This record gives sequence, C-alpha cells and structure tokens, in this order.
Amino acid sequence: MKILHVFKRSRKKTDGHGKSDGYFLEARFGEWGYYLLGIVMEVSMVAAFSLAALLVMIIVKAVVT
Amino acid sequence: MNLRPTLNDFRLIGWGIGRVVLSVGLIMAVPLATALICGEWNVCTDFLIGISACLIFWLGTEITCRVTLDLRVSHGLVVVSAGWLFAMVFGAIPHYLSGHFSSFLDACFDVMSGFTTTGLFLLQDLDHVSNGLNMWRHVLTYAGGQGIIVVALTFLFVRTSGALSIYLGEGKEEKLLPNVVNTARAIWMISLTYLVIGSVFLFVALKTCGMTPGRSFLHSIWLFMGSWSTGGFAPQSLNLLYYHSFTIELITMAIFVIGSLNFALHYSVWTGKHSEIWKNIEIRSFAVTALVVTFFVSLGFSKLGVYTTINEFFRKGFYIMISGHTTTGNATVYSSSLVNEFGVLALWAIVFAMAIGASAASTGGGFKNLRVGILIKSLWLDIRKMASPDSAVLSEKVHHLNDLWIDDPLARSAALIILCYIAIYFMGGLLGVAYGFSPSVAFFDSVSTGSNTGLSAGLVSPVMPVLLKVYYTLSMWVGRLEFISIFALIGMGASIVRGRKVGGS
Repeated sequence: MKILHVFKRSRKKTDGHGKSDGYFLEARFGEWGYYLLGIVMEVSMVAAFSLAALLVMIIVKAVVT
Repeated sequence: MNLRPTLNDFRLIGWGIGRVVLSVGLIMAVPLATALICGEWNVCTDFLIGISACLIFWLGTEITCRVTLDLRVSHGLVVVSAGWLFAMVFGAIPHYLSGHFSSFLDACFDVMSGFTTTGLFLLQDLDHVSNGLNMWRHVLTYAGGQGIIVVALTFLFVRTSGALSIYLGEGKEEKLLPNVVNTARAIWMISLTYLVIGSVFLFVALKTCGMTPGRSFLHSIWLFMGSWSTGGFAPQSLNLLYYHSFTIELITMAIFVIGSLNFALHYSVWTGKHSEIWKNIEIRSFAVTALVVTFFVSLGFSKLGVYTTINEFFRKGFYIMISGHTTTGNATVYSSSLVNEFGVLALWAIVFAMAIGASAASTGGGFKNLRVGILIKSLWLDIRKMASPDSAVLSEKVHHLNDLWIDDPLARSAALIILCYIAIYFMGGLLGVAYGFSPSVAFFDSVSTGSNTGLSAGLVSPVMPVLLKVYYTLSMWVGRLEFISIFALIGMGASIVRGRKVGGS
C-alpha cells in the first residue's frame, strides 16, 4: 500500500504528529476517518450548492409567473 | 533561432511514446478480464490483438529508441501531445474490431472522446454492445480522467528524470506532492477511494430499481467511471434517461461535481485543510457562474412554460446545466429536447456553462474556473486602478491552495488560454454552420467537443461529414491538453523544417 503510505506521511506533516484534532470521524476511524471527513465536506458542498440553485429557480419562477 | 531536433531527440520522444502506448495496452487487461469472465470469446480476441499491437510497438521503441539522455521539458511536451494521438490509434483497435463502427475514423473519434472525457460517441447500436467493449469504453474515460500520462507515470516512468515535464504537459499545473510520481499515485488514491464508495451507492440504487446483481454491479462501475471522470459515457444509448431514477441522477450528480474538482483541492481537504473547500477561488468561481447560468436557464424555462415544477427543473434543467458546467455530458433529456424544448436562452446559457467548464488539474475541460476567477479579479483590479489616483498602490489576490497575487503575467497566461479555447469553439461552430446546421446546434456541439463536455444538440452522429469528425477529434485533443503541449508539437514540426542544424552554421 505504497499510495496509502504517501498519504499518511503527508498527513503527519500537516499536523506535526498525526494526532486527532478533535474531529469525531478522525478520532473514531484514524487516518481513513480523516479522508472520510474530507469526502463528507465535499458532498456537503454539492448539497449546499444544489439547494442554492433550487432557491434561484424558485425565486425566478415566482417573479416571472 | 531554433535548433533542428537530432536523431537522439526523436529516439527519446519515441521511447516516451512507447511507454504511453504500453500503458494503454496494460489498461486493456481490464476489459479483457471482463470479457473472459462473461464468456465473450470474440471480444477477448479483439483485446488480445489490441494488447499485442501495443506490446509490439513498445518493444520496437525499447529496442530502437533507448538513449541515455534525460527528458527535457520540450521532449516531455511532445511525448504528451504525440503520445495521446498514438494512444488513440492503438486504443481504437478493439473498438474497430468489434464491428460497431462504420470506419476506423469513427473508432478513433470514440477513443479520443473517451480519453479526453468528452463522452460523445459514433458507436452504433450501443444497447447491444458486449460487456467487454462497454468496460473498455468506461475504463478509457476513467483512465483519461486521471490522464493517460498519470497512468504511465504511476507505473512506467518511475525514477525517470523529466517526469515532471510530461506531467505538466497534460494540462495539470499543480503537484499534490513534491515528487511527481507520488503525485500520480495520490491522484489514483483519491479516484479509487471514490470508485469504491460511489459504486456501492450506485449498486444499491440500481438493485433497488430491479436490476439483477450482475448487471447492477457492471452498471454501477460504468456509471461511476463515466460520472467521476466527467466523461458522460453510459452503458445505454439513452444515457441517464434509461434508468428513470431520481436517486441515480442524484448520486451521479454528486459524483461528477466532486469529480470536477481540482485534485490538489481534494488532497488539501483530505489532509486537513478543510476550509479550503469554501475559500478556494475555483469553488467560488464555479458557484457564481453556475448560479448565474441557473438564473438564465430558469428564466428561459419560465418564459416558455417548460420544466416548471421543482422536480422537472431539478432533473432536467439543473442536471443538464450542472452536467454541462462540469463538462460531464450525462443527459436526462433527448438531444432533440435541447433544441426543441429548452429554448434559445436556456440553450445558450448551457453553452456558456460548458465553455467555462470545470476546475484546473481535474478530470474536466473548458476554460477552467481558476482562469475565469483570475481574469475577473484582474479586471476588477484594472477598474480599481482606473478609479484611483496614479500614486495609489493597489493589489488583488485569489486563494487557490495558497494566496496568488494577481499580476500581468498571470492574467495574460489565463487570458491567452481562454482566447485559444474561444478560437476552437468558434472555428468548430463556423464549420458546422458551413455544413448547413443551425448556429445554435453547430455552436452547442462545437463548444461541447472543445470543452470535453459530451452533450449534443444532435449534430454529432455517425453520418456527420468526415471533416467535422476530424475537426472534433482534434478539438477534443487540443482542448484536453490545454494547448501548450500542442504548441510544442507544432514548434517541433517547425524546427524540423526551419531549425538550424546542430553544429552547423
């Protein structure tokens, strides 16, 4: 798992010791929890963005019709 | 004056291209295994021939082109641009042998479309294609999304000096890690992690729709690969419309939006810089342009009275818009609906979104959000300078992993690439008009190919003129590689003709 090693090494550089910084997912699942948190944040971004677009659509529809 | 390339230069470039072709042969093992498992013996033969051709070519370059020189930047750029053309030709062998194409050119078009993550296809009778060939189509686009060079770097250019030059030549300007080979591996790490997660979600959704476990498994992987790579390929000719499932549309949309993000941004978020996702100029630029386009699409729909319920708007209008903006090309409407139902305003708003495209160093194409962000900030800086006293010292910065201060060279390079994209969009559009297609259709499909999107208003088909097929194939190639390595290839051609001979006067 050389690829994973690359990630872990980089992660340790990020916070100095590779310790948990208080995030539940990281504390619970270790390194993979950290990546999972990243994925959750990316999915949240998509959700927030979709909701904003829906809001735009509703406002436009209300104004035009 | 430029120096004419020596024989050693050609041998070095040939050696690099051999490695790229070998990587194409290696990834053919995946569809070969699929065909073997599914008992598709004719398809196995097609792939064995394809793999043999790649191996023979590679062996030929290893024997004839091995030199002790290091790859310089100019070599690397030519290896990338020419390597993609060779990869297309060798990748098209199984396509052509399948009997689903009317000519080798059509097969090359589809392979270039796959590698560049465009998603347009000239393949005939897609609904009855073998599992092996379908796997090859999707593996092409998945590998192309990370970059053929990234594939080659991961396995075949280890400890090769000059690896950075070929990495940069593929339109990826950022390294995730100091070592470029480790960068390639990190890109695979991100993509494979999402492959597992996304495929599991899609498998459950497809199984819930009533598909058999075997079909659900294959379709989940294919849909993931098509979406993540912003390729837009799907195993059925109706694309996402085939499934009639809101859940699948929702999952694929999340996959392709995330897939369109910069790999350096993924890496940053995954390794601790969580706030980057909100601060990054590419995300902000994407959010602004997408919301502006949403506004115009909604306005167009409301004026015409089509897709006016939230459900219809989200599944048809918003999905197509976001699919276009991320340069994916997954479709939930027929090509004819884009022309006949969307109306001029919504259609051109989507053309605008496709032209801008996704993030830099991602699987997507188009101008890229980073360049648009830099250009807007630069414009804003110029406006502020005009409104301020001459003695005022003003500055603007954008945040992309680090703070980048806007200066003339940065703005000029962004503007130059955007101009090049506009040129290929425009030429393709004019060519389509010259062949008698309406401007809306011609420009829609031209922008779609140049930005590697894959949505079509109906122009792209097996019966379109040969010149358009050739132009679109080149447009996909040029758009994906972001011009620089193409310029290097042209420059090399000019040096052969007009360059000064080394050691000569």
